[in-house]
Amino acid sequence: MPQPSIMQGPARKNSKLKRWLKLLFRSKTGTVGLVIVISIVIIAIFAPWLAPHEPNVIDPVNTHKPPVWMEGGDRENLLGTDNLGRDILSRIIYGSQISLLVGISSVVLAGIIGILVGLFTGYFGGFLDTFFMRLADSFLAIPNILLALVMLGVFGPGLFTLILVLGVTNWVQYARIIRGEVLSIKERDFVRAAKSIGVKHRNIIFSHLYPNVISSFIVVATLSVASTIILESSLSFLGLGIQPPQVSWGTILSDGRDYLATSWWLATFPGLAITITVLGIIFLGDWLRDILDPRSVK
Amino acid sequence: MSEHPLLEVRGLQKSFDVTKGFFKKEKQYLRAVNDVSFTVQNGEVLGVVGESGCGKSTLGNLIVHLHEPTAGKIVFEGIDMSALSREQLRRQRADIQMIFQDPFSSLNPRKRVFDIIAEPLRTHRDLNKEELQQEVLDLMDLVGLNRSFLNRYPHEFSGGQRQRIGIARAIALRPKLIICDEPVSALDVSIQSQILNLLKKLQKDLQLTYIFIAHGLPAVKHVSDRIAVMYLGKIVEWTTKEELFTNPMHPYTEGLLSAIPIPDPTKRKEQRPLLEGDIPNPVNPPPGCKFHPRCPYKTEICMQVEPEFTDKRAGHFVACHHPLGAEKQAEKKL
Repeated sequence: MPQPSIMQGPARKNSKLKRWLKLLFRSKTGTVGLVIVISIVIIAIFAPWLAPHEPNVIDPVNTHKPPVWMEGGDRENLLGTDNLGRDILSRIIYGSQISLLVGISSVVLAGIIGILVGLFTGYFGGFLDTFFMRLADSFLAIPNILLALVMLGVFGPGLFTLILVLGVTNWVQYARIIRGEVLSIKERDFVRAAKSIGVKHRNIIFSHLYPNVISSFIVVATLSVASTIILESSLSFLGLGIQPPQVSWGTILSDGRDYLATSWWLATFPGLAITITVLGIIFLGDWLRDILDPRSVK
Repeated sequence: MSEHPLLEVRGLQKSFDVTKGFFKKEKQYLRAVNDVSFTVQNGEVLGVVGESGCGKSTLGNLIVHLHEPTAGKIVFEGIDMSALSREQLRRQRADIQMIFQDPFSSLNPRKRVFDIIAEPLRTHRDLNKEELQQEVLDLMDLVGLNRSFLNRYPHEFSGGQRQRIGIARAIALRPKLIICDEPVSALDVSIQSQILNLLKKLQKDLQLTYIFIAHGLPAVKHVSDRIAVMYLGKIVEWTTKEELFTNPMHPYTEGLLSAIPIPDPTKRKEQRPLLEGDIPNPVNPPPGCKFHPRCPYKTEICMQVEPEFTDKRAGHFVACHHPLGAEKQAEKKL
């Protein structure tokens, strides 16, 4: 057979990886995003080795010490200390663990629920659709933070319940977006072609609809990783989120809020950490959306 | 050969609920396909012609079961399709395939050519990887696609090539019946004849049966053995191609025929009976013969009584009170 490896498995996989990398390095924002996200993940994993101090050790003598480049700062605490004398840099390094975990896994959880609900209600319509969309409406009618507060109050605070609660309260936006997309795509001829071939509903949903709706999900999801990190900080501030001695960027931020006028570094650096992370995730998401579209390869 | 016709459609109806407004008590229905009956024999090509909105695409969708019929029967190889269970119907679908009008929306933009053509094979047949690839490559040869296109995405192709991919997908399972829903009307004129020739060649080589839907007679003239003319959800004339072109009996068919442009200016007659007006609102069809508001030969009876669809002359079915050429026929007898 003069059929040179058009379809050989490993070769194809390899070229796919190459294609991704090629696209990654062609897009500058994608490269920046990937570098940021990978370095933050590394920081989170190796926090105990990277942090110069224990995050919760109180030093009553050295409270409100400014960062190293300001008058009164020293090399011992590069980003200064907070109102209890704890090292800000160490707290931010440790905080990245919880913040990333909560931010990403609750968005993933909300995304899984939202995508499934959106795909099935959009495709099948009927009673299922009416039921879930009215349910979504009632979720929208209650402010997210209030709903999360009630649920946390019932189930008790904690890391795992926090992720669960944030995931369960945020599925609505994804479900609505995905459903809207599905409603327009399911009328296209390629879906009707699949139906007339006799492809099972499950396969139509996951092999025809899903790849065509996933890019809009990625855009929204990367943006909402940011708002989830903030939401986590608000809940922690209200005492129902992360419990001390666990540290998250949100708790550091809300701790420092009271001293903004006198010691600005308390709230600024965790804020910066959130901003940079979010930016990195958004860049990465943008690039991911591009490579998932076959039209972007030339 | 079985004694059944391949496809028999009896009294087929499809209505869509178009009631507007929440408080309206009376429901309004659009009768897209209204009491249609015909048969298709194995190996023949039936052309279905009509203006847009006459229900010809709905008819195609009903036959491939993309819509549920409101009333009537579709009998395929002697088996009533409405009596089949869901799983039986799913298997049955392998025998009836469809080629779509718009080659840009009929192919999933996220799938490679290989996956698109392999989808029916994966759904209905159990092939291993090598067999599947061989089968897909054979299909690509059959429809005139270069084998090197296997791993490309649809957006890299022109309309004609995309339509070839759609055709390869439709013939992958060697179906007995293919519905061609205006397969060339979205293509450039220069490509149209290529695709028509391809369809014709495939029909001959694979002994396929087509129902070829089009909005004008020129497109179906090339491929059809028999032609059905539809107007407002009904078939108004059904006969062989030769008979239809030489002896049209329904005034609407005559109008369609005279709308075909004649390329040679010296052969153009001064006045041809062109159709005037538009197709009436199908939600509120006119009483009597549906065509009477536009018919040049209408009389009193046309406005009140709906004509029956009857065999006027050896397999030439017409629904008209005053079929054209009937007088001539009568004169001959005298």
